[in-house]
Amino acid sequence: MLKIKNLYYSYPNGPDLLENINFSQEKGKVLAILGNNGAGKSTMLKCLNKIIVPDKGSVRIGDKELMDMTVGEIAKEVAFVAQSIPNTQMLVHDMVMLGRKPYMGWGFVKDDYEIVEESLRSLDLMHMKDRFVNELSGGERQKVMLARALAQQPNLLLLDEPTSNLDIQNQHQVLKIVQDICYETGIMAIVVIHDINLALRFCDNYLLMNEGQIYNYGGPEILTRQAIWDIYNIHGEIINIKDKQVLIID
Amino acid sequence: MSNRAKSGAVSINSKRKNVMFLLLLFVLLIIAVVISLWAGSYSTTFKDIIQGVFNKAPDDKINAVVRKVRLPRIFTALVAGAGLGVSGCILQAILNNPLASASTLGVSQGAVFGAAFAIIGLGANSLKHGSFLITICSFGASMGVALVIMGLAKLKQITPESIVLAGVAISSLFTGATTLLQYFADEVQLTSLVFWTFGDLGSTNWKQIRLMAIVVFIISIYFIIHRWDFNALLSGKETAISLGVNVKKTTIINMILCCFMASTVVSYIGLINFIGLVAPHMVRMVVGNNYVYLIPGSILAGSLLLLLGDLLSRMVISPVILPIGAITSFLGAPLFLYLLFRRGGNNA
Repeated sequence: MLKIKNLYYSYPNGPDLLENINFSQEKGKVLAILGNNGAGKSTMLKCLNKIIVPDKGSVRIGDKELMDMTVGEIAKEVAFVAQSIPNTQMLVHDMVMLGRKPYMGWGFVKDDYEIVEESLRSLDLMHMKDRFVNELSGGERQKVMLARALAQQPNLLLLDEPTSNLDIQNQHQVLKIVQDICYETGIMAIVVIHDINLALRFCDNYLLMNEGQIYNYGGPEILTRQAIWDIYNIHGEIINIKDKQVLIID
Repeated sequence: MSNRAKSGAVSINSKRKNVMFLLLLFVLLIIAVVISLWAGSYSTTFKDIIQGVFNKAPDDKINAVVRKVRLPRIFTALVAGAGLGVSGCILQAILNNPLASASTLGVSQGAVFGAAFAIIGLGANSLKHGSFLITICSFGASMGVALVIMGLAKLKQITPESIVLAGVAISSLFTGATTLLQYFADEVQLTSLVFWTFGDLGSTNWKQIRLMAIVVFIISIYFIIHRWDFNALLSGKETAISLGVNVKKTTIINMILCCFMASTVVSYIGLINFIGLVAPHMVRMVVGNNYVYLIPGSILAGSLLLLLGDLLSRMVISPVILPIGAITSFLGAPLFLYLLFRRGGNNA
């Protein structure tokens, strides 16, 4: 279980970018963070594994307080997939091997290689493990980044706009993989995402952010007409079509 | 064959290709060493040369030429080339900039200015521990340059491209300052400094080579141990932190080590451009961006390039020895342009 309490972050001598963030997340669930640009979504995500060090607050996974841990220790608990996908001339296998970096001593051991192979297999990447990352399509590269994150064997997976550079097919494929991973392995995922329809399809809970604060947190029922207006300044509502919830803009 | 077995075989092939490339570099280096031993204005048989290495040539002159002239020169090229090559490789990693190297960032020019200040300003040549003072001053000046670059990167949040442009400006500043110092130098000081700005592999003694080798060896081992930190940095600062790398500490420590190594090398052999820039790019074209292979490859390629450059400088209009700094710049610039255009739009 993930518990965030009284999280604050501000630029030095600047206004608060995050203010009094409190929420919790159950194992095996996918949480979507929704909000306009500048609402503090990515900042909050990066505070959870100290990419950005918060001013104060608590982030707990089980009985472990992440704010008291080093980035090396946190990397064994939390994996992060950044918005920009690396376009580097590195083998897919080596890129996924990076996920074992937090566990590395003088070098990698047999277990590390087996875990990497397992991660590659779970994302159906074995056939391309000897290709360079910069030779792959955007969707394939995003899957490589997910495989790398899985190789970290985290309890929490953070994804910063993982679908922003992908076509529709790859958007669905990547989020389905994240959902399946969470349901099958019991790890938690937090996804910063702009597309409410994708979030409705693949996420279990929703955290609405507005000007650095939590507007509301809960299941799809929190995405009311009023909430959509308050957060996005547009008129719209969630309706059911063929048993799927979708956002219809007026 | 099953998919799994097939991909496993491909991966082994890729690793084998990279290891074979490193072995090829090593073999080429050995060949270059042998040719360098043999080539020179004092011509004799190959057998005599090999005997000379062990001080067992029938003619004492051959022993002296091999052991006091050619071997120190070769070892200087090997050690200095390795140091410049690997420092360029690591600077490119920590600054996330394929154009970074000790010479393009102005670190080498800072080292030359520091040495010029020690020689002309402090009269290091006439002091008992003058060479030590020169090393200290060149290190101090190159570190000053490194701090300015890191400060600009942090405070002004400038882009990697701008860091190199800042390096060009800093290089220009220190080159100008060195020229000004030269203006006030006497003939002895000027002669000493000219060797610095030209680069010279022939003025080091075994003690200096040993010291340079210790610095290059220890720092290179440190880089090799932390090879996966540099791989993590390839994916960006945020991803590197999420993989457990303390990016700030890694950047500062490695920047200091690169500057220390580059300034140690430059303080003994003078200004040698392009080795640190070209060597990692040559290796990168074959092994990709994996620092597991890139670091040892840059060490070998740096040594090989400097040794070949030295060989050329001795052979072009033998017995005259051309300045090595001019040769590496002359050959390195077109080679770098070739690598740059061949790579096309690929990111480093």
